[in-house]
Amino acid sequence: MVVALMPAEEFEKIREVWPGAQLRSDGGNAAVYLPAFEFSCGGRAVTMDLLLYPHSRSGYVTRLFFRQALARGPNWQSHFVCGETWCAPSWNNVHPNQPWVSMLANHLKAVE
Amino acid sequence: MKRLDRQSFLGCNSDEVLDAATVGLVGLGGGGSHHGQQLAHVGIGGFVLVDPDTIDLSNTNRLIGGTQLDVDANLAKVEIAARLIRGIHPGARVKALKSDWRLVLDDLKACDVLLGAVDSFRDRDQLERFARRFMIPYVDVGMDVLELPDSQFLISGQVIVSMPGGPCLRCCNFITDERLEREAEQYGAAGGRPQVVWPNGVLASTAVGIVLELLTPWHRTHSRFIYMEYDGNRRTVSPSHWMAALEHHECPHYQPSETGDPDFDVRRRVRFEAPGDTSGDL
Amino acid sequence: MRSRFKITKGLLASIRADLGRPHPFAYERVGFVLAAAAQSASDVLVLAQEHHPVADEDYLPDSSVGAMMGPEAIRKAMEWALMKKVCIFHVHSHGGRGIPRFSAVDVRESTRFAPDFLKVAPQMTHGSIVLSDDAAAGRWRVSGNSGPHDVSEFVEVGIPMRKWGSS
Repeated sequence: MVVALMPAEEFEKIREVWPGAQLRSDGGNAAVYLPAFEFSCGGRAVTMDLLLYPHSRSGYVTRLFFRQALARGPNWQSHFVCGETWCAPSWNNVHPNQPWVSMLANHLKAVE
Repeated sequence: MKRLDRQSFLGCNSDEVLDAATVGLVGLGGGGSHHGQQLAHVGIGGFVLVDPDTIDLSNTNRLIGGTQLDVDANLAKVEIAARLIRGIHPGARVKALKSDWRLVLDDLKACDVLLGAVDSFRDRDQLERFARRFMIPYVDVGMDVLELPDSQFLISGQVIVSMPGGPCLRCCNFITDERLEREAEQYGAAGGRPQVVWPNGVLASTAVGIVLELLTPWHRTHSRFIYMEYDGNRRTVSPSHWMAALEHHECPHYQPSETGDPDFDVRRRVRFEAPGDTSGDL
Repeated sequence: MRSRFKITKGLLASIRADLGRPHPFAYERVGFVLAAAAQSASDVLVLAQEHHPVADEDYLPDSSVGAMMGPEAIRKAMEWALMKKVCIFHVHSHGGRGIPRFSAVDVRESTRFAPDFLKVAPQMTHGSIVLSDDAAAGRWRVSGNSGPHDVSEFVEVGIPMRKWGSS
């Protein structure tokens, strides 16, 4: 089932989870900047800026970018997105037709 | 006699204009090595050289300035380019950065023009995005060798100028999502693509001519969009049909609002070393 | 710290065309350029995004100057600065050729409204641009600094590229 997601609504839902979230844009597509986001990496608590890109890009249906490469997650590469350099592991098939909050959680599984 | 006397047709102050310019060269392999050499010859004053690689034996069929000694010493491609440039133009301001270009953005932001001689569409796509965000003209150069039936090959290439405010690499279908997806699927599977020196030279010379047209034009008939195609079998460099097709095209892929540093705060970044000058009065 | 003001050929041409339109009573037209900013290894970059002409009805009659903006023009510009988080540069033209200079009136008027923009968007730089028919000059301010400072270099981005500098 294809669900039509409204970027503004999805962004507000993410802001409920992370009040510091900011909307950014790249190539006309909305992205969500999550400053100092707290998540688990290999069982350790990590705080890092993240950038959720809920659109297809370079062969990935959606992407989560990290400020730095982590020890977990395959094939980290650097990317220029939304005006800055970010890192991302090779983690595909997190589909765009889901709430952005779920999308974020599914991307973070790459580094759990 | 001055070194650049023979190019005085570029304008009475062309020496100063070229000396003041800073060109970013991303990719100093077979293609990019030509760029550095020629731009040094014409008197470009500033260079930001970016490439993460060192020279290896297979580069010596085409890397201008690269020697067997450099291979033995595992020399960085940016160091080879810097040496070549300084040998021609000792006064050049050269920053040689052995790095992924994404890690030296502040140096590249200061460039007047960017020349890209990179291998992947992913790199081209992101370099163009960077250039558009910081309003830098981007000249993309590349060559390819395509296999034809009956054990024949076609040598081809292109020089495309992505000018802020004008058509981009997506407008002319050079970069497409399909190409990027195919490339991502083949990640790690592709070996070294065929590369030879003479098409690199033709394409680099074309690109350098475009850079000079940008900085010190010697004529007044400029195209709004430049896309030159090289056919190495017919031995021609000719305008792509996209040039006419996109002459009046408004690019939908890059928004004016997507410029600048996303979190710019001048209070964090700017230090004034001298008192403000307020001498604007008549 | 050097500053470089970059503007596309197309946008600069459209600004010149707009400033050349006659106004019912003002001798000249003025507008605002909205711009992003960036920090390079050596400069602050000001990157022009769009031009907003001051609306006809936002001028005040004042025959002692070329054009006098009313409070509504300033209010709109302040709103853009606040909501879009952009630099605001007042723009007008002196005509003629060569690198233009700011007049005493230009300096006086920009001193009046620049602090308002710095109040609502202190993280950005704001200032003024004056054009001639073939060149440009600019001044900029930042919050907490005495200023204004001359724009070190103006860059018209296009084919060909053109530059004008105070340095």
